[in-house]
Amino acid sequence: MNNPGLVRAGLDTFMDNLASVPEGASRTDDEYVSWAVKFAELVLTWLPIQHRYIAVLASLEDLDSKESLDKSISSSKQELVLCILEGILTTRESLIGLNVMDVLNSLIEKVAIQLKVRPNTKTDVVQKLVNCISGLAGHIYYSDQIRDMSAALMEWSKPFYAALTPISGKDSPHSEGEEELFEIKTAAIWALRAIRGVLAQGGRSVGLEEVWTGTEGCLFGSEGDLRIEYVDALTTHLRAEESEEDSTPDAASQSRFLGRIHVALFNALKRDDNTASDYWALWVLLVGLLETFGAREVIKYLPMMWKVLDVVAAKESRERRACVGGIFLGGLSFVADKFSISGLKNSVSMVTPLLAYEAHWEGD
Amino acid sequence: MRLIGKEIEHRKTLDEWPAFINPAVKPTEVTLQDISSTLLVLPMPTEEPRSLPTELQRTTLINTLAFSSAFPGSLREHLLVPWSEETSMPERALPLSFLTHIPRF
Repeated sequence: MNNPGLVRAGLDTFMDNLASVPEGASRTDDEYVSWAVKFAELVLTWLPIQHRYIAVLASLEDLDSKESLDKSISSSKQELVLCILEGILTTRESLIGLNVMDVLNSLIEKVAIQLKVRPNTKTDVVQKLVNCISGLAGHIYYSDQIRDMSAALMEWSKPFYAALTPISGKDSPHSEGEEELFEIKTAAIWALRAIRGVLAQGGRSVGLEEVWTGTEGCLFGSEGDLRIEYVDALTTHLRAEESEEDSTPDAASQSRFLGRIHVALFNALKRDDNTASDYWALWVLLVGLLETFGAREVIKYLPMMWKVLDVVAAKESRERRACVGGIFLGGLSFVADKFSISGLKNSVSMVTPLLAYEAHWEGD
Repeated sequence: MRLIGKEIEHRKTLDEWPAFINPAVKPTEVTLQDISSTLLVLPMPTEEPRSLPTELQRTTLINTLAFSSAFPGSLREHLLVPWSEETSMPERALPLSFLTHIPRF
């Protein structure tokens, strides 16, 4: 069994048989899929280590339906094969020999087709494809792999972010119809989930500026769910940076990244239609920045917040002023802890009831 | 993730808005996923907010950080620079040496 041709032929037969077993009265579809995935993972471990990657190639080829003209994943056989591929890619078994970027490009293409065609399927096919991308990033075979994967995902998705970026205060920068904008937003959200999955596997090897420049519109646009996904992906990357111990970060690049992200934060905080979840997402991002960059973030955060406080004091409702005030005080509390300034901590603690309007706390 | 957004929006409809940031919570525990009451205190506003006390206003804060030995001295002067979108964008930023009238502590 040390012949790649034989391995491939054997895997093709194996997959065909798995996909052609008829449904029996004594089992459900879900149970069968679960059993098939485990069986495939077991078979993977029986193969010589240098040939295991062939299982990925065989699965990918099986995903390309010969009957479907639109190239979407829509048959139950394809859905089963996708579950098996997800299982293989998310195991920690070595897939050495795999051309990771070819596989990634193939998966991106399948996500794009799926979002465009939107066939009826039993499983969430796009979620499974994104899981495949995240799993693929766990198989690192060269030093720049995460950088290359991030770049490929960004090349695909940056046009979506650009299309959703407000220009000169307008929320709909382009002339797309409502339905088309919804499709762009959906694609942008899935792309951010894929990027998050990749960066979670090794984001410390890629610079923040390199990944996120040109995407800031997601933070201050009108789409709240996009904002949350953006913060989730970006904070995942920030935490990866934070865990880096033996690197020499490019200070100039980090400074440029911080400059851009604070302009986006400023524009997001001063929006007059922010919801509570919008403010929460922005707060989570600010905390992530303070945690990661410490004093270098403080010198960006404080001047920006002073400006925001001035802007909202002039025109916003007291609810919005309270939210911005809460974010400002929360940040000060962090600064007090980080730099051991007990007087500042006390001052923040004392003013807290004022911010809450001598609150009538819910549940008190 | 969508559930979290819905939960916060639900609180909003119950007039439990705005979200208030609880400064007592460790930053490492702040996540998008956890909006439990220990992280998010939700007041019901009844009065106009008051202005911040002197010790939390800009000039005093800058002085506080300037006198903190833990805050890097080389970064303190950055706090004196008024923030603007123009100077924050990398391609438009001016070096600090372009600034004049920087007050001394």
